[in-house]
Amino acid sequence: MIALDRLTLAYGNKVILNAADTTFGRGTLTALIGRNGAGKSTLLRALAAIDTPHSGAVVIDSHPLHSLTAEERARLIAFVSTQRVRIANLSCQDVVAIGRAPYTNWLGRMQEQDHEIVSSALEAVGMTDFALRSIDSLSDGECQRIMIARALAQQTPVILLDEPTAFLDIPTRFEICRLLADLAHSSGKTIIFSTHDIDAALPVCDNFAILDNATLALQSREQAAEKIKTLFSL
Amino acid sequence: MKSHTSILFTLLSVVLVMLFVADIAIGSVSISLTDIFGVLTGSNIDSTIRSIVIDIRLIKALMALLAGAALSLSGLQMQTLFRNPLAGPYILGVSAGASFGVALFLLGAPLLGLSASPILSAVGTAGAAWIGAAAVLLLIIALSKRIKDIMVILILGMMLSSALSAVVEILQYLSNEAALKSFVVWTMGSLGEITLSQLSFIAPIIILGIALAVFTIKPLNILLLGESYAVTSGVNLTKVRRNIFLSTTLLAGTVTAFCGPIGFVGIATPHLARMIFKTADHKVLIPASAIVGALMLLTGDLVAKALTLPINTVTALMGIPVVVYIVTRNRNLMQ
Repeated sequence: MIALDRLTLAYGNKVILNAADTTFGRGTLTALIGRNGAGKSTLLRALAAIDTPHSGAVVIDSHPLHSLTAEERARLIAFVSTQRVRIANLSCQDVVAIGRAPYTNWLGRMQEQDHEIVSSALEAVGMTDFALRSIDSLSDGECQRIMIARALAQQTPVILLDEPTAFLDIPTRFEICRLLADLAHSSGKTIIFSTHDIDAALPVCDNFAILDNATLALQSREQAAEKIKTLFSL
Repeated sequence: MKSHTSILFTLLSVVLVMLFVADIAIGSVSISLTDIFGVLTGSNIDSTIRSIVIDIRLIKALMALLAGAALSLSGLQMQTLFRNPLAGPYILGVSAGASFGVALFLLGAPLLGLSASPILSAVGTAGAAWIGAAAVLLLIIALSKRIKDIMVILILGMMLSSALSAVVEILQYLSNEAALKSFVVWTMGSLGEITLSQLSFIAPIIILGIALAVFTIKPLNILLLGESYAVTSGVNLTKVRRNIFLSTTLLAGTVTAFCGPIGFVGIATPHLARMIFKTADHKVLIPASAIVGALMLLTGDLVAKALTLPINTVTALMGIPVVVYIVTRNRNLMQ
């Protein structure tokens, strides 16, 4: 569970979110939607504690995020950014293993248990066969699955993804959304992702968080379609 | 560790020992391997040969070993931190800071009529260079606490570096020939000006820098994915940046202070290490870069001795083809 407690965000002088109180429940998949520049990324970065909010707090399972150390936070929230990861000679298994960072020692030494968690994360996203492939040899869709596996290996109650479907072809967009829904529903994780792919998100998401004019409205799937039409003046 | 990695480490270590011995044996006077072995084990050897081996060649070979490892490690740290294959130990102005210190000492002091000052002669060229390099990096560390975006830090470092170089050029323009010559000779780099007492000061500092680099292995591996992944994986960015900059001050700053700027070792050797070991894992790359850096500088010293050239020109001519090969062959090197 992740909750916003009178969260106010600003980007420069522009207020992006004004005293929002919203709770995202366990085991739910939420699509964060809004126009370009509405502040979806800013909101996700604040939820992940990459940036500090203007005021208010983000609370995860009763822990206020900003009172924790970076390592403690990393055990509560995993983040998947829009940045494309293309590194030569870095195997997918090693990328996923980076998800174990909050649990390993100063040198990042992996225990037997960590290796098992990495394998099951790869299995959960259907990428077991790619474990030894170098990440720079993968397609965008495959790469996105590996980054999701990395977030799973972090074993956090909350996963945030910034436009995970952005560079993908249409079938892969649907597949990634379905994968996220399965993960949220089977593991009880709270998953929030920003997206412009309403078509791919509508059939699978439990909730839609609509960010518009500095307010965040959480809608169920049934309510969302109407609200989206008004938002985008369709 | 995978078996081929261990084999490569063993092979490189053997080559390293061979080059180290060769660097002691070869020079204006050739010294036989039996003599070198004799001197090192304390047998009764002719005192001239003993003096050449111990006082000159051994110190120089040790300096090449340490300097190569130091420059290479700090280059590796900079390349990963800035996610830029062309970053190196001097990207943040270490070399410009050192040059500035030396220029003030060799060129500025005579202009102000301070050349005979006892305080200044105690500081020496190396001291002036070290203060210059450390001042630049301390400034960068202070700035990086306030600035989030690593690219802004990179640009500030480069601008600071250019500004210092401009001031150095003004000092050069105003100076007389003799002072100018000694400055220009310093910028060409030299491994041979080190004394035993200097080496016993340099070695612990470089070892401390290497130890600090070992502590950055885990965060460097996470930083491969970029800073937003690093922060959300539990990396304390401010602390890690500070450690990396501190390590670079100790490594590149010290080497530059005592040997002058030695170009391209720090940029080229981390790439060589990546190519040889085919990995991006810093658990392997940190020791690998240190060994390959030492190898490259020992080779550079052998070539420089054979052709009686300044070390900086040799390392540039050796390193540039490596960098050219890397950027043309491997376009998606680090993004």
